[in-house]
Amino acid sequence: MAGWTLAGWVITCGSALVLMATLAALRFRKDRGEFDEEDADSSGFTLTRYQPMARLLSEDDLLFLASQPGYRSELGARFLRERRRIFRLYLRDLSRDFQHLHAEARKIVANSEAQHAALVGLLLRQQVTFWQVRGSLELHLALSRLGIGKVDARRLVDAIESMRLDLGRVTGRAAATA
Amino acid sequence: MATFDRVIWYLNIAATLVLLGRLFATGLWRTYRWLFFFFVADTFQSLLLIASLGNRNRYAEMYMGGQAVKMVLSVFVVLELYQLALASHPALAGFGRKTVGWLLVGSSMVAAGGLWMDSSVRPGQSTILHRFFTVERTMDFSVLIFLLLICCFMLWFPVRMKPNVALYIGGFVVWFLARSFGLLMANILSASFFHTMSNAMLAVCFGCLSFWSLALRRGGEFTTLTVGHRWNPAVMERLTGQLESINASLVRLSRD
Repeated sequence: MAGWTLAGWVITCGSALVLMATLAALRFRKDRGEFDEEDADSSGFTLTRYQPMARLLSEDDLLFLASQPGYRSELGARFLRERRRIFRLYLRDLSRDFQHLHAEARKIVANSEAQHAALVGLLLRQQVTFWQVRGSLELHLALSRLGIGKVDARRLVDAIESMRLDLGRVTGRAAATA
Repeated sequence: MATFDRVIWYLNIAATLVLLGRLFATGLWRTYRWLFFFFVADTFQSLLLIASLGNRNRYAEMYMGGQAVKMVLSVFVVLELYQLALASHPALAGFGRKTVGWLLVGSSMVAAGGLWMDSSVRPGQSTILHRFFTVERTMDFSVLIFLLLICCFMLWFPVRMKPNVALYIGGFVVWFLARSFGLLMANILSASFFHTMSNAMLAVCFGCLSFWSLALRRGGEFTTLTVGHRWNPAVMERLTGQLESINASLVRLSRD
């Protein structure tokens, strides 16, 4: 490849990477700024308020609606659009709560002793998992909007307790040695 | 060697000596030992290069030998940075010690992914020098990636750093970015741009050296501690439980 062409590609891709990193950093600072309070209290958080997510994308309500007299496909499409919009609002709030909790946990771990080093890895894995799953959900939502596949949130809340046991083993060891 | 080339080169040597003098006079060389050794090696290399100016082959040998030593020292420099930055955060430092090897390997593999960019040697360019520049820029890029990963890690966790460490890291990010980009451009652009890229790299290095000479000081070794958020096992257990609950819920949703 000609030298100048390659140089151009390097500069373009490098600039794009820097721009994306800057935007991500600005977004990160904005999110962090909302929760960077010394006396932020997350003890009131509960997943109960997100129970409705399990139902928002269920087909049952649409089937019921379709069975009603006077139903038209436009009504069904609008119904699904609104439900997806509300689901996104819930997802946004859930993400915000996750970041809030995670920021609080990071602050504690940053000031803790060496025997709690394992929690650093745990927090990293949790963040990566969150990003992966959130990305997957957004993709599913986008595809369902095009009529491809479906997102069934029915078992969302059922999984709330499924990882508590594993986590309890890790944090129980940390608490015992504190 | 053109006049400007010589001037910028001598300015770099002078700035390096000033920085070494500052580090020695303030006693900071004891804290930042590998940084000190890195610039001592740089000064020795410069003196040997001046002595070899009349002999191109000898000059090339001195350059490659000196850069090889500095490439090894640069790894110790960044490891020293990593250790210093996390020194007052025992949990993070413990995690850092376990993962530093993986980080170095990972950053090297990412950097090695760019080897193809200057795989062909320009007509008229020495093959040995071209390949050496490729190795050197790959090493510099690998160190740059490692530094950026450290920065991201420390920004993500609320790490309070000594001002000197922050300046040290910031300066080296610019240093290795300029070196890796400049050497790549020197390899892929035509020979007429070689001196331009060389001077540009020297100019950036001069800027970094001047910055460190002015900014690194004894007072920069002291920081204010973060208050609040001390270790509380009950709070930590609650938080991690809540985080895992959220993730579990989202995982199940995404599978459906």
